[in-house]
Amino acid sequence: MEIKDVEKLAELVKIELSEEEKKTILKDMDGILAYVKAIEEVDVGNVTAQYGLHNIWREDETS
Amino acid sequence: MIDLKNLTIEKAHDALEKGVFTCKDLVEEYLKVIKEKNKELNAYLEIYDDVLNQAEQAQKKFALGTATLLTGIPFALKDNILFEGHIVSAGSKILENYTASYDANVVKLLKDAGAVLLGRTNMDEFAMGSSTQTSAYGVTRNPIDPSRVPGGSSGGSAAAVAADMTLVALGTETCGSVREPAAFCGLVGLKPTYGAVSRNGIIAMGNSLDQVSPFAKNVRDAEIIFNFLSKYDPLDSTSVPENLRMGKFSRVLGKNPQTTQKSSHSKVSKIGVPWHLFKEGVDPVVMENFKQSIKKFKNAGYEIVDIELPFSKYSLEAYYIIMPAEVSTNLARFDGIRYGYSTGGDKEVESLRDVYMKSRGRGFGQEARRRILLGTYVLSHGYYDAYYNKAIKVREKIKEEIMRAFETVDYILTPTVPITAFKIGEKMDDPVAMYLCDIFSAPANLAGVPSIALPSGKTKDNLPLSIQFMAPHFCEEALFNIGKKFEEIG
Repeated sequence: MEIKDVEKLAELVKIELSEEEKKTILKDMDGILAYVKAIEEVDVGNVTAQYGLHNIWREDETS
Repeated sequence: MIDLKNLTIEKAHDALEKGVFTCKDLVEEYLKVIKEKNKELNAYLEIYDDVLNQAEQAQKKFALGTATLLTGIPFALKDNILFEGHIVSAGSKILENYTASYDANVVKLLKDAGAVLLGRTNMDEFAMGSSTQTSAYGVTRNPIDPSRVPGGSSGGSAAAVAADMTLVALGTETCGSVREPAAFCGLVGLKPTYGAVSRNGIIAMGNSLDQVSPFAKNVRDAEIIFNFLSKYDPLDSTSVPENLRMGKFSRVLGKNPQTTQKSSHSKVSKIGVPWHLFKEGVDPVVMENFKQSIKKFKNAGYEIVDIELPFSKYSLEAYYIIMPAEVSTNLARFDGIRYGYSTGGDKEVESLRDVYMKSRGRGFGQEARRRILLGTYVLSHGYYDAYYNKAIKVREKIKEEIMRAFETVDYILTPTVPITAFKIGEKMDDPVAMYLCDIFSAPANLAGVPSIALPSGKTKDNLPLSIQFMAPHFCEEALFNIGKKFEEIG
């Protein structure tokens, strides 16, 4: 991640961050993402989540 | 003077019924202790102004012969449980003056039973934390050693019970937020089956994980509270109807649906220990105490077997993807317009966007902001499959393997927390180190099974130690049985 990614996320969630806060969040998120990355190695086979949640994507076009 | 230290719900009920003391006497005794200790411990954020009136109403139930076991029993409520007409802030500045407009289902049930609600207790902001240090209203201290944390996120409720500032308390669990503080404060903490207790009127953190959970000094008190609160609620879409609560587990495993876990558990006593989950990272004192606890169960005739839970090894990773994803959506509603803190009237605010940005930027604390951003990241188009989608699949595998394990064992046993209560200020700069406190809690929350934390001794520095049992869905009674057994043999 880079500072610009933090800035983009902060804009999406509408949270104002100071320059110092952006740096701290970047460091923390890097650490957390490095930790949760271990989940990539898990072979889940063809399991289907019971909840059946899925996102419905659409093209980002003006209607 | 009432012996608060050794008081239980049944002892208090007996005394209230016989007129040894009144509901008001009991409440006043707790108020005295609160006045003496709360300044240092910061367990309560507020004592409700109608406490004595509640006690008088409870006393009338004794006079009318309509008293229940909970009538006149003082409760503390975690600050994310709605109590109509009272402030509820979730430990956050963004809700600092928010007044609840209705009662949570659990509050309704406690009121109907005649319980006395003493006040609201401190918590990590929006239940995000393992130490009650992320509250916007200051740190809560552990009554056993005030230089240490009480655990979290329900640390205020735990500290209040441990310091005799209430008889019992309610907290909420998303991942160990009751069991971990129970462990750090030497208490019993129960995480019920997901769907057993209504979430209606609880300020949500992770909807698929949250559960209201009791704190008590002994197993019987936790059992009494659970039995009062475990009711179907049509206002919570995840509340499980009464007729589906028994036999569900049996159906999933293809067993005879007529054979309930309740009856099968009274006959078998096999405890599974997933040793491979705690090969590393467990404090030697905790590990030694855990081994001693196992020995006690062996000596009492229980069969101890090794079990493998290979997917559960990834519980914390899955949890720290699923939870922030849910947090990021749940906390979107706090926008400076509809609830609580707002910068709307400030001179520097020039647009609606400014109101959102500044209200949320200033209203949320560091941990809440971090989790909202993280959740948005793992749900974003480019990372959804790699993180969130993978995590919910891993969650399914964890659930499946835990349910399979219960085909061969009756309980799963682990330490509650890998460490003992740590010093205030520790781990605040390292979120991953803080999150690791939840490592043994996560499997039960992800699988939705019940789990109970039980005091298992003390270190030479007098710090509490704890073990936890998991049981199949809706087998809380099995947990109470083994918990009571441990109180006898421990």
